Amino acid sequence: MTDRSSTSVRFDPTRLTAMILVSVLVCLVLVFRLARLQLIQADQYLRQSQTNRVRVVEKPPLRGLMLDRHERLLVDNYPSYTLMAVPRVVRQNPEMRDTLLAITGLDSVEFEKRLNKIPGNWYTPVRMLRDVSFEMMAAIEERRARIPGVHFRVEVKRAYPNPIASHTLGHIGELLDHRVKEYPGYQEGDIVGLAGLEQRWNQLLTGQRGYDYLEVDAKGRVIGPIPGMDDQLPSPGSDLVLTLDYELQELAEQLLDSTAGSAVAIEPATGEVLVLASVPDYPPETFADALLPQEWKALQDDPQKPLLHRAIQGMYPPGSTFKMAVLAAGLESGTISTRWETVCNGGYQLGRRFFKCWNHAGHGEVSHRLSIESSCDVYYYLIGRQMGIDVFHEYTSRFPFGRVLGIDLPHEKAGILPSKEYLDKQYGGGWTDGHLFNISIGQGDVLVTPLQAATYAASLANGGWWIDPHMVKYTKDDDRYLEPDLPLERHETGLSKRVIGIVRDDMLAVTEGARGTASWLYDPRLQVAGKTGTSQNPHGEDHALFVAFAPFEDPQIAVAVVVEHGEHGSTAAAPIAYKLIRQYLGLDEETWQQYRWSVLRELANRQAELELQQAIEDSLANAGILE
Amino acid sequence: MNAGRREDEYLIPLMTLVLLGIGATAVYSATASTGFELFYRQLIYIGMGAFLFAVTAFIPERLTYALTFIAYAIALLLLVVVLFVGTGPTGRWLGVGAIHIQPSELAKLAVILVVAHLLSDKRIDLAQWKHIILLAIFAGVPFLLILMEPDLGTSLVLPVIVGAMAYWAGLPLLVLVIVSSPLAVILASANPFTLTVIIGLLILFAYWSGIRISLAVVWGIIVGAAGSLAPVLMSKLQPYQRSRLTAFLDPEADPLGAGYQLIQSKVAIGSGRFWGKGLLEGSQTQGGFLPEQHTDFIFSVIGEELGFVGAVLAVLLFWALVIRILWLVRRIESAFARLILVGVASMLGFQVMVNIGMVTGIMPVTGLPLPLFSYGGSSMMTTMMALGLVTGLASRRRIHR
Repeated sequence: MTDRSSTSVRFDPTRLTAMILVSVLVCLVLVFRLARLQLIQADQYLRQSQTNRVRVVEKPPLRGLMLDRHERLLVDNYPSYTLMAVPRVVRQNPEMRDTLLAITGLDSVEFEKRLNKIPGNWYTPVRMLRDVSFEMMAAIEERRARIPGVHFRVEVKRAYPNPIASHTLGHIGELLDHRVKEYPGYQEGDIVGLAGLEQRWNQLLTGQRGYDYLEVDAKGRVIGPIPGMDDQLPSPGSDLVLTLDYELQELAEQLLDSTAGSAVAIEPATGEVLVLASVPDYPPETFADALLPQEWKALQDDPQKPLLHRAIQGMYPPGSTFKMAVLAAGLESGTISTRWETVCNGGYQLGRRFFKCWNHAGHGEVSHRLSIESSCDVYYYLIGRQMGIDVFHEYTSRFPFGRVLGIDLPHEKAGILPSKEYLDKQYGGGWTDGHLFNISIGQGDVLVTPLQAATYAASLANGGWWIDPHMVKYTKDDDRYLEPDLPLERHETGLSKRVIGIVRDDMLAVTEGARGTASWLYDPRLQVAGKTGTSQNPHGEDHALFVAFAPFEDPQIAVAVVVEHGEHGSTAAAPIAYKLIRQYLGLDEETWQQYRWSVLRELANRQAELELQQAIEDSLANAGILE
Repeated sequence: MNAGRREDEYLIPLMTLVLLGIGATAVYSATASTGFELFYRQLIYIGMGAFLFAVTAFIPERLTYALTFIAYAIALLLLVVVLFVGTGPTGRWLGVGAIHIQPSELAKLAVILVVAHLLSDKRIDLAQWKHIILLAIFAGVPFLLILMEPDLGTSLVLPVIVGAMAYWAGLPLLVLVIVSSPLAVILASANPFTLTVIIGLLILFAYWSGIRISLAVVWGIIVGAAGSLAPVLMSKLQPYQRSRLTAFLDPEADPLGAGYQLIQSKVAIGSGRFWGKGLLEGSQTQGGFLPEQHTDFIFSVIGEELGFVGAVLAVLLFWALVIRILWLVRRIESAFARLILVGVASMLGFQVMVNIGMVTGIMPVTGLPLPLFSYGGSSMMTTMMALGLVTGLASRRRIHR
């Protein structure tokens, strides 16, 4: 060693100690850090490491089917393939992204959005594309080696072998962010019922999801099952046997076709809804695939409102179909007696305003019978004014008006049955007898849904009570039939048998009486008790309504038909109701068409006979006077 | 005086052997799922390292001293060459046939030698600024060359080694603080509050060390200005370096990107808990959730599979090695040898601190390997040669008291 070296650097024990101290300090810092990670926060990291390696493979249960009341299949399942991707693997292979974009045709913004929806961890596959075509599947499988981390999952899609009642059946689809709150226990992206019965009975239809717990490595490759974590088998959803009658519903939709309107039929004794038709509608499979934004917009902006479920959401002035309620109110409250009559001269002068009767010629002397049979407005103006709003509301509210009936469908509307409070609020106390006049003939502020109208008919059919209208007859679980979880209640109108009886008899006169507004449809086999209605509305021609039940002696069906802008209940709505009733009672339509003319002739003869008798009586009376 | 009496050093080879054993086990576990090719190669590297350990342990100190500048020149040459013909994913390797080396690893050793040589020279006076600058040039050239590769992690080892050696050689603490202050300030520049506090402390320290207050304040302002320029400097960094730094500051910000390794590493270590999941039983390790786990993140295997017990044992062993080397400084007469020991100890200590600090999330991800543990030949060669050198120098110590 040269002498230049050796002693130039002084041995300084303090500096050595300082260096040793610094290294001990660093060592301590590292040990403390390890203690923090491995002892204090260990549980958190253990949990993270477990979710890291576990891939929860969701096994969707088979969704329950929907059948009509005679177990004819309405909603079926078929498999579809969903492209899944493991976000971490896609991120690690940028070239794979381009390949996937090219094959799927997704735009890159949407692609990123889907990829970043991380439900569990970065190894949990996310849905990239639903309902992948076989061509696309083949294209992806061919390039398998270049695009790791993608696979297909089998998911259920809905099929409609008997395409009816699209509004009522509803649809399923991917749960979107803004609706997650409505579905407790579900995550964004899950397949759920989004509308109609699919939504209302989602829980039951879905069944229990099953899970496979698989251990995976960082590339998303499955290593095997995880010991101690048993797979959970899915249990399929229950089938719904609906109260709907497929043929009747189909007929209703056909009859309403090319118009806008609704038909509702109910079995009065049970509250089972046989028909819940709303037209215009859309094919039930419209929402089976994701709609393009412009398709969705076209449906929403359509002035005919095909998305509106008119049967439960359409609100119409009931017009003259409301008169039974007002008559019952008048009789029950004692405002009028059965003997009370008035004279109709084609209208009524109230102050400076003349309230017309639809029959401008006037009905002459009007009894309660004629007021229903021939639908005299003046009669009801007077009852309404006599009763006053409070009595009016007290008694008419005994019927299923102005409230949600609780049918097992989402978004049912309540309609409006005006009370004093309502009118005060609406018109600030400035309302007059004129408002009361209008309300008394089912115009103005009164609004009912077709479902309410049908339930109202059912309550009259039953003699003063009704059962909650509902859509599910029973649920079916492995061929076991179960009562649906529906609190079906019997609602009493509390109106006396006598009053209901009078009103019912008057309804029969509408179809069978000589001056009945629907007597031109007379079918002696049916015994229809009904009421026509024509309701004014600000949107155009009058709405045509008809409510009815049949047969009179033993009612099997209660119907309400609304044809928007159909002008006359008697001509636009009543024939539809008749056809539905005939079909439901198993009476042949075609035979009837041939038979009809002879019946009408008979009817004409009867009327002629009646008039002749009247003429004889009149002449006898005149003769008597002369005597 | 028992000049020349041999007292062989056994502790360093023994501790090295134990650390190599643990390290090889970790590499075995980290690569078990991908076949054993990497593990066998690591065994070859260990064998080559052991050979180099033995060779350097028997090189006489005189020869080492004589070869210093040649070694330094070769290292510089390789560093220049690698800039032009570098291979590998980051262009840091130099390939000749089947042998690929990382010149930056060898340069660390060369710098230790050359700085030890210079500082042990009587003519070098650390009280003179021009001598300090001379030293800075010798260390600075390879530092800049490595930085240009670019390899920020390895380049940062050099100033630390030189700083420690200069401190040992009598450089006033104040000078060390002044020289290293820009780095401290840059690191603190992200947070204005921390920056202000650090500059305040620096000014106080300078004043306390006898510098006029006005000068200290001027210096503080200059350094502070440099610190506030750091964000500008940040924008000059390579994108991956920037993302690594931001990943360190907030790993959750980009869980699938740069922060990923950090999170997975912490999850691996944390989930190991006290006793570990057992060898080859770590789900993080065996599932391949950590990219580069057999190289820079090898310590997380220990943490996960051998738990707190294994991890602390490894840390303590490393520190036993570092302190043992520093301890041996007491008993060596030669200033050159002492300086080499200090240099090797600081190199080892700093790398272990930065690497384990990185995998446990208290230091930025810099890509420094863990000596003796991480898979890779160059790091293994350098470390083993350094330890062999230390063992040889310690065994030939002269007891002069």
